[in-house]
Amino acid sequence: MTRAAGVDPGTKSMDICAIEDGKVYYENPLDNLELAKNPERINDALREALPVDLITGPSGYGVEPTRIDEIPERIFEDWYYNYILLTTKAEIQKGIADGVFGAILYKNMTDFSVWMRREKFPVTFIPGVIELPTVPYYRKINKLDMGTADKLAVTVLGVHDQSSRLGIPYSDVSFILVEVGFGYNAVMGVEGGRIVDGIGGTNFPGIGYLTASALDGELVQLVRNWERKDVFEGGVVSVTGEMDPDAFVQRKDAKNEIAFDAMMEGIKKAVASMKVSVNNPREILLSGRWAKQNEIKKELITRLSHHADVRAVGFLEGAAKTKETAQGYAVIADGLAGGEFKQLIEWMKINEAKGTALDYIYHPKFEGVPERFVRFKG
Amino acid sequence: MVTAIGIDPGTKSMDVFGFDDETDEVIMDLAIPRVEVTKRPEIVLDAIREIGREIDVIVGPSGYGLPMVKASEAADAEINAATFITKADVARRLNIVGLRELMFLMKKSNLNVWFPPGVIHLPTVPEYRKINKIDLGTADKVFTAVSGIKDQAEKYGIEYSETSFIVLEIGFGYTAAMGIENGKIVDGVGGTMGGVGYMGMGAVDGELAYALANTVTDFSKMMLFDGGAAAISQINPQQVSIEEFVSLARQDSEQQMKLAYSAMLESIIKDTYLMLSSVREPKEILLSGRFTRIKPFVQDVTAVLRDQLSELGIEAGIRTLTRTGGEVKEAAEGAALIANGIAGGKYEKLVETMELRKSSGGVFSHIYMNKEIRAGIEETFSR
Repeated sequence: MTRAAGVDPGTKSMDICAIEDGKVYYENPLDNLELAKNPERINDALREALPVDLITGPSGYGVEPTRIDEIPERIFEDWYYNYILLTTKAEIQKGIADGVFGAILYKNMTDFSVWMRREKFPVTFIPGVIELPTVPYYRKINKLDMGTADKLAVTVLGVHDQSSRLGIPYSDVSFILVEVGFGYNAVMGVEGGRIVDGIGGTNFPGIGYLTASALDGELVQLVRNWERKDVFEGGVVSVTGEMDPDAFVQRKDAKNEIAFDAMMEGIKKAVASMKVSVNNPREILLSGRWAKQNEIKKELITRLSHHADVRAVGFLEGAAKTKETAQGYAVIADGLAGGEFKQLIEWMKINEAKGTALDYIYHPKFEGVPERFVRFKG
Repeated sequence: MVTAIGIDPGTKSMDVFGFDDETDEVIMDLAIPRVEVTKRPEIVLDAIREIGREIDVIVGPSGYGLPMVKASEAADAEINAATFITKADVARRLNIVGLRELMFLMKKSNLNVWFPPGVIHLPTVPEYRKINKIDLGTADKVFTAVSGIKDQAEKYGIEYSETSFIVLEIGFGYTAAMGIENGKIVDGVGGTMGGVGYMGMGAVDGELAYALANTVTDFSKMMLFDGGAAAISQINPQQVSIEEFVSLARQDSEQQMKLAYSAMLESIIKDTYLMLSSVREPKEILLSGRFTRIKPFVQDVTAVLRDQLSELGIEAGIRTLTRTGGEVKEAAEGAALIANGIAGGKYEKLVETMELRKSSGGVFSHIYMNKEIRAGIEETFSR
C-alpha cells in the first residue's frame, strides 16, 4: 500500500490532494486569499492527510526530483526562493512591502516548505517540462518556462487519463494539453506517452487572464525595470481594466471582446505551433479553472476541434474538489514512491529529469544571474 | 510614367531600388553598408541625387513605422518613436541612430519622400492581435509583403485582392512572418516576437525579462540582437558568414551549430504555424531575406515545411520570392512599389488594396500595462 500527497500552489488556491493505491482519499483546496490571512491553515491541512510515504511539495518552476533533506537547512529558504521561485528573498520582501499579493503567496509557499523541512516530512520537489530528457535540447534554448511543475503534473494526469480511458498502453498516448488557468495559460505536447514540448505561461503567444505571456523583445527593452509583479500583468485584466470574470466571458463591451479574442486566438496559435512537435494528436485535452467555464469551453471546442477531439482531462478516481494539477502532483508522488503510478512516472522519465530552469539560456546578458543564487546542490 | 525609389534598412545593408514603371527600367540597385550610413547618413540622399533623374516619390526607411505620411509633414515625435532608443544607445551610435538622422534629413530635403507604416499601424490587422506588441513586422517587413502580393498576383494572373500567402523573412538579424489574405496583411510575427533568429533570440520569456532586468544595468537595444543562432553556436556573426554557418551546421561534427540550426529551423516552422491560425489556406509560403540566397538553407526549410504542411493537409506551394534587383533584397523592391503607388503609378491599386494609406496609431498605442508605464514610455521615447 502506498499513500502519497501532492501540494499544488495555484494562483487562486493552494490544493492538497492525497491518494492511497491510486484512489483519492483526501482533498482540500485552500483559497489563497484565506491563506494570506491564516498561512498556518496549510500546515493543519497537510497534517490531516498524514501519514504518507511521499509528498510532492509546491515546486514552482521545477527542479530535478530533489528530496527536501538534500538541501541543507541553513540555506534551504534561499534555495527555495532561488530555484523553485526564480527570485530572491530580498525581492519578495520588497514586493510584500509594496503590497503585492503574489509576493505574499510566494512567502507563504516558502514558509510552508521551510516548515516541512524543519518537521522532516518526506517531501520531494518535482521538475517542470524543461528539465525532462524527453524534450529535445534545441526546444529549450532561451526558455525558463516551458510548463512549470504544476503543468507537468497535469500532463502526467492526462497521460494516465487517456491511457486508462481508451485502454491503450502509454506508448500509444498522444495529445496536446491546454491549461487555461486563472493567471496563465500553457500548452504541452505529448507523443508516445511522453512530454516532447511545452509552451509555458510566460512564453505563450497570447495573453492570459492575468499575464502578458511572451514579451516582445522591444517591449522588454523599452520598459527596462521589470519587477516580479509585472510578470502577472498585461493580460485580460489589464486590457479590460476590471477584474470581472463575468463581463469578460459575456464580452459585455468592446474591451472585453478584444481581450476575449486575444486570449482565445493565443490558445489557438499555441496549439497550432505545438502541432509541429505533435503532428497527429489523438485528442486535445483541456484543464484549468477557465476551461471549466461553459462559454470558454464551447469557444475552445469550436476553435480547436479541427485538430482533434477536444475534451476535459479526466479526474482521478475519487477526486471531486481539487484542481487537476493537484491530482497530477499526487500521481507523481505516488509514482516516485513506487506506488500504483510507478510505471507511468518511469515511462515519462520524470525520475530522470535533470538540472534547473536556469540551464538553457544562451543570451550573454544572462551571465551573472545564476551567481546571485545559492548553489543548487553539493 | 512614374519613377519611384524605395529604401530598405536591413541589418547589414541599406538597399536602394528604383524603377521607371513605363519601361520597367531599373534606375537604382544599390546596397550601402549600414556602417557607412551610420557614419554619414547623407550618403543615401547623395546617391539618389547622383543618378540625376527626376524622382516622383521615394519611400524612405521608417524603422518601426508611422502612419503613412509625407516626410516633410512627419512630426519630430513620430520620427523619434519610430526609431526609439535610449540615450545610452544614442551615445553608442547604434545603426538606428544613423537611420533616425537620415529620416530627419529626408524631412528637411526637397525630395518627395514618404514614410510608410509598420504592420502594427495597419487597419487590416485586428486590434486583439496588436495587444502588448510593438513589432508585428517593422516597415521593411511591410515592403516584403508588398513584393509578395505583386509577385503572386503576376505569377498566377490574379487580382491583388485574391492573393493569399504566408511570407517568411529570414534575415541576418531576425526571422519574421506575416499572414496575407485577400491582398491585405492580417497578422504578423515580428523579429522580436517570434522564434530564434540568426542574431536575435526572438520573443522573450517573461521570466527571462525579469531576470535580465534585475541583473543588467544598461538595457541596450543591442540585447535584441543577441541570444540567437549565432550566440548559441558561439560564433562571431561579423566574422563567420551566414553561408559558412549553414555549411558548418549541416555537418555532423559541429554539434553546437547543429543545435542552433535545429532551433532556428523549428522556429521558422512554428512561426508559420502561428500564421496558419490567421490564414487557414494560404496559396503559397513565400521565403525571403538574406538567408534565402543560400541554396542548401532553402532546401532544408522547404523540406521541413513540406513535411509539416502535408501532415496538416495544406497544399501550399513553397518558393522564394522573385527578385528584380541584382544587389538589393526583395524588401527594397517592395518599398519602390509603394512609392510608385503613392505617385499614382501602375501599382496604385496594390497600395489601395493593402489599405496602407489608412494606417493609424503609434508604435506604443497597443501596450496594455499600467498607465504610469505607458505614459513614461511615450514621454521618454517620443520626445
